Amino acid sequence: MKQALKVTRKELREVFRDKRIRNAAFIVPAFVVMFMLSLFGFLGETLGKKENQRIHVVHGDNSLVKGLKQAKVQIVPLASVEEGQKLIRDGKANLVLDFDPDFDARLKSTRQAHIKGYFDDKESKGQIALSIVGKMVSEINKTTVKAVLQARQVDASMAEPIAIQEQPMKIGQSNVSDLLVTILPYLITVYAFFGGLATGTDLVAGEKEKNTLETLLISPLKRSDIAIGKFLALAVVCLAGSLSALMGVIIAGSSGLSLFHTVFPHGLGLGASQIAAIIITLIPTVAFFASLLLAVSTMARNSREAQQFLAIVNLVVLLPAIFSQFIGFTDLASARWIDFVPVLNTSVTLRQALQGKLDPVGLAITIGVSIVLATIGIRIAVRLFNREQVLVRV
Amino acid sequence: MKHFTEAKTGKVVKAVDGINMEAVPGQIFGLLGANGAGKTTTLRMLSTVIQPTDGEAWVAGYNVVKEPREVRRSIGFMSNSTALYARLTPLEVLDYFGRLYDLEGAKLKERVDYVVDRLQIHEFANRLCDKLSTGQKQRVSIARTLLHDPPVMFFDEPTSGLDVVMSQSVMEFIEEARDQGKTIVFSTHIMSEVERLCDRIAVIHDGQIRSEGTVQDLLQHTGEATLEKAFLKLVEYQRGEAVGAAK
Repeated sequence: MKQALKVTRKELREVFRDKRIRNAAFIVPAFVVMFMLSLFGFLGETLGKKENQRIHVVHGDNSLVKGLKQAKVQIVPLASVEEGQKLIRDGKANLVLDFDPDFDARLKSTRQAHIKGYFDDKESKGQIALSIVGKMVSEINKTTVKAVLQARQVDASMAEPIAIQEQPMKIGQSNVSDLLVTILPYLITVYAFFGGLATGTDLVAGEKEKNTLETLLISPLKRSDIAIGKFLALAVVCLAGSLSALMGVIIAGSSGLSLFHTVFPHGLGLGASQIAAIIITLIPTVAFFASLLLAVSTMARNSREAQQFLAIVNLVVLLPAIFSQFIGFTDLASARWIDFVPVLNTSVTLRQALQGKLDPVGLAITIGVSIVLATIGIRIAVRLFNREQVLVRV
Repeated sequence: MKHFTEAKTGKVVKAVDGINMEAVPGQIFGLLGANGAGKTTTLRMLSTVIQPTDGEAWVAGYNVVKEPREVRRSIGFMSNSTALYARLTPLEVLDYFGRLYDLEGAKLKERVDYVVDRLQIHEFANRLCDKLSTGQKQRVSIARTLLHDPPVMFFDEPTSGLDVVMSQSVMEFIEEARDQGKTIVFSTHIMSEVERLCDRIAVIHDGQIRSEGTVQDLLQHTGEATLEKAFLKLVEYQRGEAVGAAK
């Protein structure tokens, strides 16, 4: 092991000197995560706000439009519906509302009033603006119906014959937003793999290409020491990629910037115990990823071939990680068999950690599965290191 | 020693087919052959990078199959396939390999200082290997080969790609190592290097030794006036043929 650590130390020294690897593993994940979170924050801040909406209206001289103006919605009057439809087609308007010319009179005389809403069905902005109008109309509807009912001496609550009273229960000690629970496990898992991709390619396949591997093979090291030394270095880089992504979240959540408010409505929301649970889950997972990358790199003749192999191996990581983002919409998140599915189990365990309701059995199975896979991966890599056809391609 | 492998086509490739040779301390033993003759495979077997598929070999008294780590501790190997790490400095390369050879503390420092002095590496000792000239890299490679003071040294076409001045410097170093009593195996396809350096030569072709002895022995054996002509006769070269192209 002492000899293996000498190899690890040298590999890490080289990794830290390589700008490409340094960026890919240590800097890019944090920046990408912060950028994504700020993007979500920006969308949440701008799209849902009334003052950011611009609505074009035809026959807009009525009480509802006045209410929209008071709510700081930008109102643009138009002469005709045709003009509004042209603006939508030209991409210059999101929503055009065509009111009954006698809109207010109809409301007063308890006749139904109509609004026709025109929007591009392929664009979200028109639908978002219409939903804001819809909420205001719903309030007016309730008020109007209550007034009519009271005038006829009927209980005003019958304006809504059925009322749902939401009783959300707080399960688990967590203030992490739903959005973060959905995307963070994916990002952390994916960066544990992709953070180590460049290093993995370089570590054996790259050394074969640059003729440095044979220098190592003629030293008194055992082949298994070389493989384990390289594996440990790779695992450190994979873990760094993942922790860099996590660091991006911590920086964004702790910054207090309004840009991140949508994602962090209660501040960071991540406690020390949750961060510890994330790291404990990650360590065996990065060991699995490192062993996988090492085996592929050893198998390849050169960096180019390693990249070709890894293009396929990527799917093993990417597909379960992508699925993990949607698992909350299904009943699978609590299914026991998911704990046995590599990568997906890690994402699900991270999700639980973020929600503050970690399942200890699930955590143990996830760690166990990752350790078994990492062990298999290392054994394959060591075996490949002992095959001269693979190592020196004689 | 033999080294046979099976190609994807199912054809057996006989890279080395029954080589028998002996190199002794204080002498340079030359392996002379065309590209693909089996020189590199022979040296790779002797340095335990690959195993012979048949036969036995001893290096510094150790069996290459049964005691590979002891063999590796006893050898220095230099070739154009033993490159340096681009993102380490010469001092870091020497420190790394010194530690791999279990040199530690004062002993490691003493050996590093010795090779740095001996090969005049001072001025670029802290520059990344990537930024070194070919000649400087070659000096660092020699320093790495020499660092653990091995009794046996293998040189596989060490002057390949070097200019005349650098080649001269490498050959001088090999001569010095011989004078220090080291056992040296030197593989090349350059006749002038063989004539200058080698005490004994084996002409290798198609994985077999065609003749072995001093330069004079080979000339007498073939009846030719020059080593080049003797070599071509031994490998049965005929005009227009690409030597070693087909196996």
